[in-house]
Amino acid sequence: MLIDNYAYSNRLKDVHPAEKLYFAMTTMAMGFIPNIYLNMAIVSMMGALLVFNAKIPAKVFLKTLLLPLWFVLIGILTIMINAVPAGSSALIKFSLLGITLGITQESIKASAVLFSRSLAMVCCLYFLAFTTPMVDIFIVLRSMKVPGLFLELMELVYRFLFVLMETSERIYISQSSRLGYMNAGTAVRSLGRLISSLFIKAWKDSESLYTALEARGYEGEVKVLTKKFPISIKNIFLITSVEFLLLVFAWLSGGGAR
Amino acid sequence: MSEYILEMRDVVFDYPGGIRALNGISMAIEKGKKIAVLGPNGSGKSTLFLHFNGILRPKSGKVFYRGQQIKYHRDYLVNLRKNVGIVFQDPDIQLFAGSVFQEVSFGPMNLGFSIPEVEKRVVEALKACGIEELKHRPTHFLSFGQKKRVSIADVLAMDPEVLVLDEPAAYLDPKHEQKLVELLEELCRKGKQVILSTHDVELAYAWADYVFVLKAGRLAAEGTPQEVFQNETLVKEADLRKPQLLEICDILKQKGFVFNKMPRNIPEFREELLIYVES
Ligand SMILES: Nc1ncnc2c1ncn2[C@@H]1O[C@H](COP(=O)(O)OP(=O)(O)O)[C@@H](O)[C@H]1O
Ligand SMILES: [Mg+2]
Repeated sequence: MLIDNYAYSNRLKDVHPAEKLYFAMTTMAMGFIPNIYLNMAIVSMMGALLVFNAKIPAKVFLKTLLLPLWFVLIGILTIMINAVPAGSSALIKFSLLGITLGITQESIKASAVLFSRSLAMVCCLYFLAFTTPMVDIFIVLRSMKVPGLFLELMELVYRFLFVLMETSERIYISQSSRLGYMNAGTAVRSLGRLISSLFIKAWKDSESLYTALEARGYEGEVKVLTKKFPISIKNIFLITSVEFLLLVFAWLSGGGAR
Repeated sequence: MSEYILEMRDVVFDYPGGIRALNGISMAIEKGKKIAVLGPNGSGKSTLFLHFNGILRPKSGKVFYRGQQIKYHRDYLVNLRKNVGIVFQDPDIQLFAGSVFQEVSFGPMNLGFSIPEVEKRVVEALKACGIEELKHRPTHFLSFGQKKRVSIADVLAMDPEVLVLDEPAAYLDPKHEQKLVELLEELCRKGKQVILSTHDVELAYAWADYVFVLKAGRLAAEGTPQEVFQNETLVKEADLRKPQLLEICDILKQKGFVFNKMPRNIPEFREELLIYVES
C-alpha cells in the first residue's frame, strides 16, 4: 500500500479532490483519441506533475509504472502477432503447427496505439492514486450524490481492509514461526486455517464494531464531518486550458498511427 | 449521604448460548470518585461496562443512572449514551472512519449539533488528548498509542458526564501508560467521572479512589485500594496480587517505620521517606 502512503503526504494533497478528479478524468477521456503523440504527451505530463509538483520520487513513480507494464506487454504481443493469409505482405512470418503467424504493418500500429493508450490511462489513474487519499475521493463521491449506503460500505471496506491485512499478516507470521509453511502440504493447511480464522475474526469484529458505533449514538446512518477544501477557480481554469491544449496538440499531430 | 451516579442491583446477564457473564452484581458508583474495576480476563468487566450505557440489557436485575432506572427505549438510550461514553478496548474496532477528523466527528454529529459546533468539539477533544496534529491523518497509519488517544477523543467529543474506559492501559508501553494516566487525571480535574477496568493492580492502586473486584461474574470485593489490598485473605480469594509499593511499605512498617499516610505512588513514597528521615 505504498501508493496510499504518498496519497496522504504528497504536495498536492490539499488541492480540492474534485479538481484532481476532474483533471484525471478529462485527461483520461482525451487518451481515447487514437494518437500516439498525444498519449505520450499525457504520460510525460502526468509523470512531470507527479514528480515535480506532487514531489513523488521519480524512482517510486517509475517502479509503480513497471507493475502494469508486463501485463500490457503480454496483451500487446497477442495483438501484434496474428494469423496471416499465406500470400500476404507481413513483415515477419513464421509457421507454427501449420498456421502462418506474422506481424504486419497494421498490427504494429494497432499495438502501438494500444500500448501508448494503456500507458496514458495508467498514468492518469496513478496521478489520482498518488495525489488523492481515498477519504477525499469519498468526499467528492458524496457531493456527487452517490447513494449513502453504497458509500458507507466503501468507506468501511477501505478502513477494515487495513485491519484485516494487519491481522492476516500477524496470523501468517505466527504460523510460519511455527513452521506452518515448511512444505506444500503444511502450507495448504496453514493457508486454509488463516483464511477461516480471518473470516471468523471479520465476523466478530463486525459485531463489535456495531456495538461500538451504537455506543456513540449510531442510528443507521454514518454521519461524519469531512475536511473542507478550498475550491480554486484558477486551478479549474488551468486544467481546462491544459485539456484544450491537448486537444489542439492531438489535432495538429494528426493521428500519429495513420 | 453521597450521591451515586451509576448503580446496579442483582444484575444477571447471559450471552447467547447460556454463558453466564454476570452473576448477580450489585454495585454503586459514587459521584466524583475515580473508579477502577479489577478482574482477570473473562471475569465480566467488558460485559459490565456495556450495561452502563444500555447496550446490553440485564436478564434480571436493575441498572440505575443518577438514581433513575435505565429504560430501554430509543429516546432514553440516546440521552444515556450522550452522558455515558465508552472507550472500547481495541481501538482497531472502535475506529471506523478513514481520517481522524471524520472519526472524532461521528459522535457529535449523531448528537445533532451544528457543523461549527461539531468542528469546535472535535478540535477541543483532539487538544485534550494531545493529538491535534493528527487531525487529518488517516486512521490506519497511526501507532497503537495514537489510535488509543483517538478512541478517547472519539468519546470526549460527545462531552459525556461519565467516561468509561475498557482496559485503557492494555498493550501500552510504560511511557504511553504514564501519559494516559496524566490524561485521566486531567479529565478528573475537569470534573469528568472516570471509570476504568484493568487487570493491573499497580495501576488500580496508584490511580483509583475506589476499586471493585470482579471474579467470574461476581463482585468479589470493593473498597478503597488501601482497604482492598491490605486485606490478605481478600487479595488471595480474588486472585489478586499485592501492589509492590504496598508490599515495600509493609516491610518497612514491620521494621518500625511510621507512615503518616499510606503512599500510593513513588512521589508520595519519597515524601514520606523524607519526612521520616528528618524527624
Ligand atoms: N460476545 C460474546 N458471546 C458469548 N460469550 C461472551 C461474549 N463476550 C464475552 N463472553 C463471555 O463472557 C464472559 C465475560 O467476558 P468479558 O465481559 O469480555 O470479560 P472481561 O472483559 O473481564 O475479560 C467470558 O466468559 C466470555 O467468554
Ligand atoms: Mg474485556
